[in-house]
Amino acid sequence: MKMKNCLLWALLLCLVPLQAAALDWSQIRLNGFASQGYLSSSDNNFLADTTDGTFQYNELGLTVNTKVSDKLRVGAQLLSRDLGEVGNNEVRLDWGYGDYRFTDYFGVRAGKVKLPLGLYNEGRDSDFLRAMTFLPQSIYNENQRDMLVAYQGVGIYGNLAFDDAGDLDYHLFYGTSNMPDDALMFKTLRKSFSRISSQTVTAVQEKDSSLYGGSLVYNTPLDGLRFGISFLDSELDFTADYGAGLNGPGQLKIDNHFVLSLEYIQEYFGLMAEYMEMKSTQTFLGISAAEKNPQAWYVMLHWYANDQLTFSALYDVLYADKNDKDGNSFVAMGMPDFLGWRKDLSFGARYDVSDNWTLKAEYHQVEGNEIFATVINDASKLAEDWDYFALKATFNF
Amino acid sequence: MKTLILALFIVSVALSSVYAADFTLIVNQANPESSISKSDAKSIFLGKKSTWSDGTAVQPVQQKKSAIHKGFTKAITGKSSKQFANFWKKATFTGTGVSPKSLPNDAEVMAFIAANAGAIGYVSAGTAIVSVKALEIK
Repeated sequence: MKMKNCLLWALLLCLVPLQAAALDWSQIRLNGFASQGYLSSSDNNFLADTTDGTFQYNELGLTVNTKVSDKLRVGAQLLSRDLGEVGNNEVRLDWGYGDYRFTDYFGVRAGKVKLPLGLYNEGRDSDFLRAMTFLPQSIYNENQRDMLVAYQGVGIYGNLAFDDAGDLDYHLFYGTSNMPDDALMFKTLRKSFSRISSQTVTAVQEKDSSLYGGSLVYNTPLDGLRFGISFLDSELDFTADYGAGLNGPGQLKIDNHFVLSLEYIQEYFGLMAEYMEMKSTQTFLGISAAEKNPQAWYVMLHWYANDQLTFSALYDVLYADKNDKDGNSFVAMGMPDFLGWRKDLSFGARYDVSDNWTLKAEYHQVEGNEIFATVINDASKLAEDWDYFALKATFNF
Repeated sequence: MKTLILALFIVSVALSSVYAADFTLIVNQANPESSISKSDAKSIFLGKKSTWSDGTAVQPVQQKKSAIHKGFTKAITGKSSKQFANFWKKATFTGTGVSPKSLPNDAEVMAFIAANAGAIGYVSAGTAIVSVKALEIK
């Protein structure tokens, strides 16, 4: 464990004060969830070996929340997940932190905390919280999940109430990412660093990282309507193995990463829309690749037909570089132009069998792809137009 | 056209009757407040307001799935009971809070509030208020 992480955990433990001796065990809540999905795609693999269909798509979570005192809460979630080659149901700490709330408008969280990016990143591992199986992939890219799911560090948060004018939630943080070794990001970086340096990179390990950012959510006086803005700057340093026993430094720097959000939920329908941009630079052995400016947006509609049945429609767009929407830079590298965009039109249905059981099905028709697709597919055989569908059953308590 | 307007009127009346605010907000007798704004009540039941004006910690309680619970969540938080439950599930599974204690009926809600200084809950309108006090919603 890195020194920074040790310090953070020490800080977390310090937040559990001596008053823990007076812990009221009735204040401990234990919750959990388990899900099993099936993924299948045409032409291109999507996140896993999906052209043949795969059941390697599940999550198992156990959550404990404890109220130590009126102001202090401590909680943690253990998560076991499998998505193709990722996770393989190894049990890991998904989040775990202490939360001291001085007042309603100022509190401190320390530990491993869910990262607030867009309106839905914090809940991304709990699919029963949303109508569709996957969050829109343009903004909540599974390839970047392990980098963005949580920060290990310190955050301040609070709620500013404006009486009849609504209220504002804020959350600002600084920390590190600490990705697991099987994070999909490493596979993408291996490919990128190889391309940048013209060397064969065989392995990439995270060396150090820093993340800072924040989120503001304005809950308007109109019930169900809220707006959000969130931002994130991250710098991740790596060591990459290449050639015969050599290794060298690599870096991924993401600046000006921001998400604008809108959500309007009424009794029978819901509208969600978000817009994202960032500046991304990769460097390996002192050589920097050209800066990319990914741009993404989506619009999602829900129809809550009754208490049990929800129908969804989503249109989700990602450009690898907003200054190269035709994908010319990919053509220059000998790759297909359609790696420059991904447009996903999808429809889904969710059926809540009970308060605890949820079934989902969804179909995605996709045009284009992203660079990660070249990691899990034969790049020369990638198809521009493809589709995938997902089925999932989830139990939560 | 007249038939359509009549049909829409009947449907809207039927829907509004489902969510009529047929509840009384109650607190402990020692609570210094005699009224509360709707926005403060909403903040309490969404976990955003945690203390009363005298510094006592707020302890909201909800009723288990019922018509009164459905009417309360819609009238005060603007959410359906399912959306309200999902709001708290998200808090639970991200560590930002846990849902208010859930009790099965008016009698148990009143007994809990009578025994806890910072507690607040709701009972069916017309229920005899015993050992607790009603809070006016401004």
